[in-house]
Amino acid sequence: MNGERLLLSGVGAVTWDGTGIEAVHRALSGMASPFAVEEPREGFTVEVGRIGRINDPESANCYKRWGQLDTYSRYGFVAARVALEDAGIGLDSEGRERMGVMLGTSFGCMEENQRFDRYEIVDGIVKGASPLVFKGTVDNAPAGWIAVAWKLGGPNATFVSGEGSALEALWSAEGLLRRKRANALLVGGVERFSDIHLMLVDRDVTRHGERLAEGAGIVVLEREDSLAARGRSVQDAHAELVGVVRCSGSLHTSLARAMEQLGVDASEVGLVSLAVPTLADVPADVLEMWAEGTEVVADKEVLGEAHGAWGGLALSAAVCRLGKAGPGWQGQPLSVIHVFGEGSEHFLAVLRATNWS
Amino acid sequence: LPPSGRSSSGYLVPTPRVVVTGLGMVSAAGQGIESAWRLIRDGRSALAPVTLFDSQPYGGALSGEAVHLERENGEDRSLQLLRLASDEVLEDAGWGEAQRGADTAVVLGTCQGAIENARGIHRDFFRRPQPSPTAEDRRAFAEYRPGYGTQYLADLVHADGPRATVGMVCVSSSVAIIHALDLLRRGAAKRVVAGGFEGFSQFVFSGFHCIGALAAGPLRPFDEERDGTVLGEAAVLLTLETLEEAQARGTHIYAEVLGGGYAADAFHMTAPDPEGRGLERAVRQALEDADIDPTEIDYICAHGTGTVFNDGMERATFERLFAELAAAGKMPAISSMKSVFGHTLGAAGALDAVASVLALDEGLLPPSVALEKPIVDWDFVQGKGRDCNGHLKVALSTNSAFGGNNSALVLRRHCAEGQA
Repeated sequence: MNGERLLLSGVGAVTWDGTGIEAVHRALSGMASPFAVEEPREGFTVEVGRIGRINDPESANCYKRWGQLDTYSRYGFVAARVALEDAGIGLDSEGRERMGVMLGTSFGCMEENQRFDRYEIVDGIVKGASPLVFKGTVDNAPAGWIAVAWKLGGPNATFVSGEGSALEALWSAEGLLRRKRANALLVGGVERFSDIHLMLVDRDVTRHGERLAEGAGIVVLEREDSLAARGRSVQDAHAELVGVVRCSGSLHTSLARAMEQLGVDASEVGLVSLAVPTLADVPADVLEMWAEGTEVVADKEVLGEAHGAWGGLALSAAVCRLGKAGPGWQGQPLSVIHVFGEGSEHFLAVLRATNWS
Repeated sequence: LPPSGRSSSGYLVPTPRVVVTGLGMVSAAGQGIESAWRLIRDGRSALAPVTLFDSQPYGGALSGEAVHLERENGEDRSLQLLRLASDEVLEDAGWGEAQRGADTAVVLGTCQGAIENARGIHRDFFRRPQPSPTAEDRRAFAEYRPGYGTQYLADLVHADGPRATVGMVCVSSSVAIIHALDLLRRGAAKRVVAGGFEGFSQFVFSGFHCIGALAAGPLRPFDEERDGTVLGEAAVLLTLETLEEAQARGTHIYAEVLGGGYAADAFHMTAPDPEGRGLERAVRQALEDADIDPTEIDYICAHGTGTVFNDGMERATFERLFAELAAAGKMPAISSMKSVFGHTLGAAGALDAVASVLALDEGLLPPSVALEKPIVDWDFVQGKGRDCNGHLKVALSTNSAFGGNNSALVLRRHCAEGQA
């Protein structure tokens, strides 16, 4: 045990279909409830995976101020709770000052901002701003609440870099953990839609799917020595993070560069998760990169376009797909998860199955 | 085996040294670094009564507005600030065609981004009958997305590399600088425009008012009679690049970024931990990253918001971090830039970093202008800027935020080879 390996020791998610990794399972297996059809403006309908105001008795039990959390923060809080429980980290676990929270979001607290504006300042007149609403008007609210509730005193950051936000957080978390700035980090993304977003969304969406979804996907990324110190083995974790690479350019070029940088052979890859709306959007040169039997998926088709939460949900979905057809993914040890960054950037995360030998 | 030139942790080997080569700023002091530094040096405050809206319902207050700025073409004020600061930073760094492209990154921090233009939409779209969205509405909404400012700036400076945005309220831009440092050390970019931007808005003003955080009068960081903060606005940018690249270009090097750290209080959403344990962890991380000892710090550019809670928390933190120096009566010099520019939220960390960089480059300690009765007998810089006769070598810049976030940056004066 050299302590250098980084493990996904816990996974948590919130989707429109429920809480926990089971909700992701249901979506991937076609068993989830259908997306709602909303008409945000006259003559314009959109399919939405809407969560709304979430009430989670287990979160309420573990944190006395749960009632103060805004809806956006609740998504992240619940996904974090599930991930921490999965990792076996509790409110009394030791070493929490060396555990932190690294999250991403695209729209952040926009809905809370709208509430604040609609009800607190009307036609320029102050109607009585509420401190309770105001504390939700910051993009880092979910990461803050999670840290406060579990007393996680390590690194804490929130990236608002569009769809790439969750993997921006993962890229940053990898650096912090490898340099021993923390023992374990909750990493992922959170997204809540504002009503105005739906009203103003363009129909001619090309890069993103037609189905929009709220949600959160958060994993516990932990150093191997930390996992061992908690009495757990590598096999108790879902997967190892081989690395995260960021590249600008075409998807094909970025994938090739990422695999070279991480020393990954395409023949060992059993799952490729691409952040495209459907597989029909994948260029042929990208599909041709992999060996026969490699499963190439576009999970947004079933989970919806969750923007800044997407990277976290994609990690959760990759964990869900583990062991479905033999050890690892399709009998291979590696999976590649792709997420679009801002501009022409791509994020590529490579996972290694811990159940594969 | 890891690829050549990269450690198993993904960091370049040897880890490149990172330096600051360009500065740009628009603030209440006016346009340009020169006007801001003149104000700092002379120990004058740019704070004045609010002009952007009627502040009487709030009891009236001061602000750090960039009053010289005329609104242009309906552009959101925050983006206007950003555009003007970008012109200066590129010119100052001497960046041209060769510095464009996929090796150039942009990392910005902001609290509310382009919120002013979006506030009309907030109200209009919840009225009945609901209006049909116009192109202008769509534009305002698109610009309101927190990461938009970074895209806007990256397009302006033709940066096709990583584009990241940090949304962590008052530590946003200091964490952006730390993130930029990481991009350079890991070889994800060769040069970065980093910093933060924030427009003065009634939205945030109203929020700070409702939690009782606004000062009735001048902003007095670390003063016994401090009673709150004053909000300001700014766009503050720095160009960071590797020492190797800067030296190859023969450009002026303001300072070296030695390290950074950030950590949570894990205490309360809007109140700091009175003991400052989160800030202490952030500073210790930054010192470890910089590979220096607390005794090597000559100057602290503190967050110093002027609120009872923040300044008390920072005092508690510094008491522990610099206990040895305090006992010997050798505390590093301390000041806060908020008394000059107001609290610029998402731009505050970058503004403090720039003040620290200029202090190191000019050998002059920036003052807290309205500080009269310090809360503790330490070396607070009061009145005008203080010449330190070449003894200023290492600066620490600290920031804290809602959500319990804290950050710290360590910067060092750059000495050309052969210089002490």
